[in-house]
Amino acid sequence: MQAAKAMPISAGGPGRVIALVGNPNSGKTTLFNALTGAHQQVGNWPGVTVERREGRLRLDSGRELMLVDLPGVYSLLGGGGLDQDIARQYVQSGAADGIVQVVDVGNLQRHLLLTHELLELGGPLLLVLNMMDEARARGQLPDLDALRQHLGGIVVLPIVARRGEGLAELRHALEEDFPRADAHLPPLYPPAIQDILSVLRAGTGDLGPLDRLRTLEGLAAVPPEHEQGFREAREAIVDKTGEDAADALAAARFAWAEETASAALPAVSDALPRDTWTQRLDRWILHPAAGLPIFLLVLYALLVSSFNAGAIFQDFFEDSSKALFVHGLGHVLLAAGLPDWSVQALAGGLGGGVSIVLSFVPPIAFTFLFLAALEDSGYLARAAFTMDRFFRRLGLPGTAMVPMVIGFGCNVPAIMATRTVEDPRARVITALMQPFMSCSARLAVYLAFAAVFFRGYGGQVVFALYLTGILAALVTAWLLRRGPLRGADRPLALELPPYRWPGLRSVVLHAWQRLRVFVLRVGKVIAVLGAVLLLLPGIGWVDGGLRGTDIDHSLLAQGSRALTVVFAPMGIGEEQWPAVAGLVAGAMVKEVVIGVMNGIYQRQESADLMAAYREPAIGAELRAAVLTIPAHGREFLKNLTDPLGFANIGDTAASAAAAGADHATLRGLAAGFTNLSAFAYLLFVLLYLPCASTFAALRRELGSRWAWFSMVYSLALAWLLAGSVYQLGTFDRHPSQSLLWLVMVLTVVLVFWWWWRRPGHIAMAETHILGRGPGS
Amino acid sequence: MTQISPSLVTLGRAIQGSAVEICAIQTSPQERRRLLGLGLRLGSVAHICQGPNAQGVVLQIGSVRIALGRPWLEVIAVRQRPCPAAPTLAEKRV
Repeated sequence: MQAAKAMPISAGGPGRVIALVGNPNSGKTTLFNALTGAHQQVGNWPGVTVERREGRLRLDSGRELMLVDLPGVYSLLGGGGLDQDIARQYVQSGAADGIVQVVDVGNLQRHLLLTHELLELGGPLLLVLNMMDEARARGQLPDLDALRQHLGGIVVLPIVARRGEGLAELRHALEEDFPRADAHLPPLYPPAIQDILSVLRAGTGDLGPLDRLRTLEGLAAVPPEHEQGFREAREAIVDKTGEDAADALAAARFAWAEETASAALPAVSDALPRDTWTQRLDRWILHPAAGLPIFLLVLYALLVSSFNAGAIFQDFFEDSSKALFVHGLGHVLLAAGLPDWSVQALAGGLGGGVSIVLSFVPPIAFTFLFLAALEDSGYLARAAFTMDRFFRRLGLPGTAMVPMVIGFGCNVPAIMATRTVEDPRARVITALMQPFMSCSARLAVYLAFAAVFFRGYGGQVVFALYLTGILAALVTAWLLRRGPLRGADRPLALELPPYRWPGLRSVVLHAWQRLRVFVLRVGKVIAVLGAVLLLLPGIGWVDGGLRGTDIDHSLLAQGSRALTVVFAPMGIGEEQWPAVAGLVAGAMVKEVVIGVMNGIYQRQESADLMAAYREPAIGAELRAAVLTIPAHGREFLKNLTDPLGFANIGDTAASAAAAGADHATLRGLAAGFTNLSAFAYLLFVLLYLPCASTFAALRRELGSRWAWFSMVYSLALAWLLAGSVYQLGTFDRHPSQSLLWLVMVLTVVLVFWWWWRRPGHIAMAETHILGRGPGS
Repeated sequence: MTQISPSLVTLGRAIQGSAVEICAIQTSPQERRRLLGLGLRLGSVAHICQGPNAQGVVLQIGSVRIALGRPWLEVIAVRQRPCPAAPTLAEKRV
């Protein structure tokens, strides 16, 4: 892994760099948000997928600092995931001009274990005691002078990050370089161990202090030139303490932390009001029987809140952006004298792409908002524990459940939510499962087909498709665990933070940072692909040149007709090329599958496409967009009991309206498909390629190789399964052809299984997951 | 690494509501370091808040609550200790 550098994300950063370090749940990120507000940059650490957050802090003197929010870490010596490695490397590199350690004063003793390691490094250190309000409520105010004295005179400041209390003093302290621990720092180890460490330090001067300790404790390989030194040190520790080096050093650190904490705090009482409240809630939330329904209820609320509440604003975002960026822009370009085809490309294509990106914003923003609130409340850790016993059978931790449920709404935030999965292997598997979860975009396609082909039993068909998606996700996890992602499971071990009311500012900032990443990074891909795919229906190769043409002679029609041969095994002929065009466009965004079919069938009925550009009614469109908000607000209240919109399935008109399908589209579908080929088509829509935004999210989170794997794997799975369903259903009509198809499928599966189990894949996956970053 | 002696019980046999002393952890140095970070080490005294059951166990060490998945129940050895908060039988009689 590359060493973490101090280079800020943004160019031309200010001089001093201060790193925020702390245990998970210490309130470090809340403090970071409180200090930097919106002046943050979110990126990735070099070579890995761990989120890197930096922010500018302007002090009262006018000087600026760069604050780096390091991943939450229990120990700089190791034992955690990739994020903890990052924090360790950064701190040890000396890249920061100073370290601010954030400590939950309610867990002072345990947090001081990290202080011990930071003192061992010897750099400038400032200790921030957070959550002083809770300490006051418990009557456990620490003696700051006694604590400073035990920590060698470093600056110790009490704060309440959520309320901004003590931040003025902290900002003042950050004006100057803060001091290192002085000569009065009490010994960090008992004399016997201290002597052994001094001898070892003298003989291994080329190693950093933390690397030396990691090696001594058996957490890192011993360099060949120092084998004797480490062996002698270990033997000496066993002689002096009767314990091996790891146990003896850990015991010494715990003893130091206990002594330091007890010098600063009055005796701890077990009957703490906050803990009692937490314990009462946990009795139900972690109950082996009640925990599961409570978890499902919370996720149901998350789903309803995120996607139904997001839907209130979705049409407003889509319609108003279409009025401005498609029709408005098209009008301006047309008035400027640009030819029709370029107006279609820029306004319909690029503007349309921007409109699609913006239409995603409300549901994704709500998802991030509610997820951040759940994270802050302390519930997510409980949910992971509740689900762990079920997911463990698949080799996944309980934390994998949350992204899967979010995936029913949209796969993109689901993939981004896999960051809560600590084990890197499990995180890859969880992310690769997401494209099979039936997102709300696919439901639009299901509804249109249900309206035409499955009247009376549409609900069962849609339910079967949802189950098939879940099954495909589970099979994928099973395959990955038996293929390149083999390896020992990491059993769940996590801290259950006390329940707290989420801080509004912190939640909004957290959600905003994630949303900004989505809009800027994932959105760019959608916008560019949108330009390409929306350009294709309007232009074609006519008379030896690329010109604006009718839909039947467009590049889209020519390409789609050529592709229908691929879909022949699932009963799709050349006359259903609009459905194939829908699939091609759906590779960009699944929402547009029906939209493209609408466009094609309407164009075939010779609608004037340039009319909206020549005479745009932007004012009226914007007014109509605003009016969608109260209308959808009323729908939201009405649909609380039907978050997925299944209620529409029995009603053809309601289904078509919900899917956004025009009557021309429904007539076109009815003419081209049978019930069986329609079901095979829906299976294909469910399983084939992750959409462009999902692909971009996979690429960003897992790297290009896994994103392309997902693309090829899902396409092959969709083709083989949809084809097999159609061939089995029509076996009596053409038995030899169907038999040949099934033999081919079996052969492909067997060859894949042989290739999949090759040991070389495991080493490759190891290198890729642990040693390379996204998109590299 | 410390071996589990016959006089100890695995964490899976601990009793809910009781206090236990962690006596052995049979796992890799990396996983032990992970538990250390959570405050769980040899000699720690933990209260069994919930479980052990099919999910695992919830412990409290000091004021920190720790959830351990089921696989840990068989690799951590503990010794039952009288719970400081619970009165002994003799105290109850008095």
